[in-house]
Amino acid sequence: MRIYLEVANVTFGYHPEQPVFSNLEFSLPVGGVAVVAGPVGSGKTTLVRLVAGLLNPDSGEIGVSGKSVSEMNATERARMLSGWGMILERTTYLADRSVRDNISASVRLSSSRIRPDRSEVDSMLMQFGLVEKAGRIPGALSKGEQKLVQLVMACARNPAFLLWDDPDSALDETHLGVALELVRRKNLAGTTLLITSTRPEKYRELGWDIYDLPGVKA
Amino acid sequence: MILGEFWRGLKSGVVELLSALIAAGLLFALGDCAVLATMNLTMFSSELKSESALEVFLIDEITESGIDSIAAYVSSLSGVSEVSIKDPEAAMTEMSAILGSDLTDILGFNPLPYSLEVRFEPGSYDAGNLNRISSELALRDEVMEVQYASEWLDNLERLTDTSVALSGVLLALVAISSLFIFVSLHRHISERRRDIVLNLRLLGISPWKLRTISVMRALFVGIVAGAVGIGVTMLLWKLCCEYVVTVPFLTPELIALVIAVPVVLALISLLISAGRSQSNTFASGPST
Repeated sequence: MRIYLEVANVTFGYHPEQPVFSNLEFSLPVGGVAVVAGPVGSGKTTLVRLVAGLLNPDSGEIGVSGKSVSEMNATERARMLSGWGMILERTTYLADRSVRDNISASVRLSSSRIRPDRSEVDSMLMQFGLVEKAGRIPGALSKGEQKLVQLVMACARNPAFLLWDDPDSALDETHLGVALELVRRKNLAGTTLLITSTRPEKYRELGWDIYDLPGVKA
Repeated sequence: MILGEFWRGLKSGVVELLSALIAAGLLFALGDCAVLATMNLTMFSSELKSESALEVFLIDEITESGIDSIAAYVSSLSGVSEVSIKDPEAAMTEMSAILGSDLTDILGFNPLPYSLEVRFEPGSYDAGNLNRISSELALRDEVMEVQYASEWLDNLERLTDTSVALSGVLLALVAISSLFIFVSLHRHISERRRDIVLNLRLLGISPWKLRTISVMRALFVGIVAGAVGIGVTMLLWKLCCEYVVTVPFLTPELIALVIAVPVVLALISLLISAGRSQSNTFASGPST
């Protein structure tokens, strides 16, 4: 089994005396799913930032396809991110562009060779009731709708790796269900998933493995 | 992609550019008004003083040698640049021209005495100097009366001093507020840039593409800002020159420089945003 993501002995803290993690360790195979669960303040978002290379660990290594993220140069990191889809705590859309333009820009910046056509994008938007709002700028949508736009942007890239930080924080039960079904289909098509959550029960129902923070162990 | 980003960036670029120009224009106008008002008042005051004279009326019984003696004495006083002797006929002709009728015809005689018209070097026509000279002349036997516009001179000096003080305060306020405006403008532009740059990075844009977009945008802002800034400045200068005294050090180049400052700040902030590493963007605060 090929390993896609490997978190090895990672220690990180925003202040040296107060580490968020100590010796964190887990790995995720290609095409696998990991749901990292933990209460508020347990370090889920920090873990996502570390994996995305937005923070560097104090010690230990985070490897993607066998290469250390912290040792990557800007070009290698850009190449890595161009193959990913990310739905982070912060909004990752271009504020002055419409929803459709954002999806289009996201796809064009993707390294994936499989590009969705307009009907496929419309189909994703339709599932979330966003087709009529595709001409608006994301800032004109609700927080939940903005998260869904980010999900469509990420999924439209046909990413090798999808990183989703805390899906349940902004979505209601119905939309979360539809979103998870979309993500599940991507996973079945080969996308590796890393999701964080404060309420892991729903993911357990999908048969996905749940890992607890602190002390994540694969 | 690059061209698309470039053209889409125009809208926000123009807004940044206009904000910078408006901020610079307002500050410049405020500072300019303060400086011009004071300079105009100072120049007016100086012109008025150079035209003003102290009149020394001599006694009726004065002889020609007495007139020459007092004229020589007055000429030797410090700050005096010119002394002219005015005979009673010339003084009467001058007064008749002002009054519109000849007083000699009415009175049957010319009551005006010989007088001296004393002019001063620049900077010497002030209340202190005039009081001193006036006191000295009053002690002379040849002198009947000394006249000068002491009241309006005092008022003018007070007005000039107040104006200088006020414009100094205003300029200090303008300097402080311009600093705040430029810093906040710089921060605003920088943060907006940083946000866009970070989002593009998270979407996996390559470093060279990002650099190309940033540089093209910076070039656009620089070129358009330069052209608009100089054009607006020249126009303002042309309009202003109709109404204000030309002040030699406020050249169009200097005004263009004033407008160029926020534009340069905008360009620097663009480059700083483009050069930031994505990891330090999140380093400021924990959110676990």
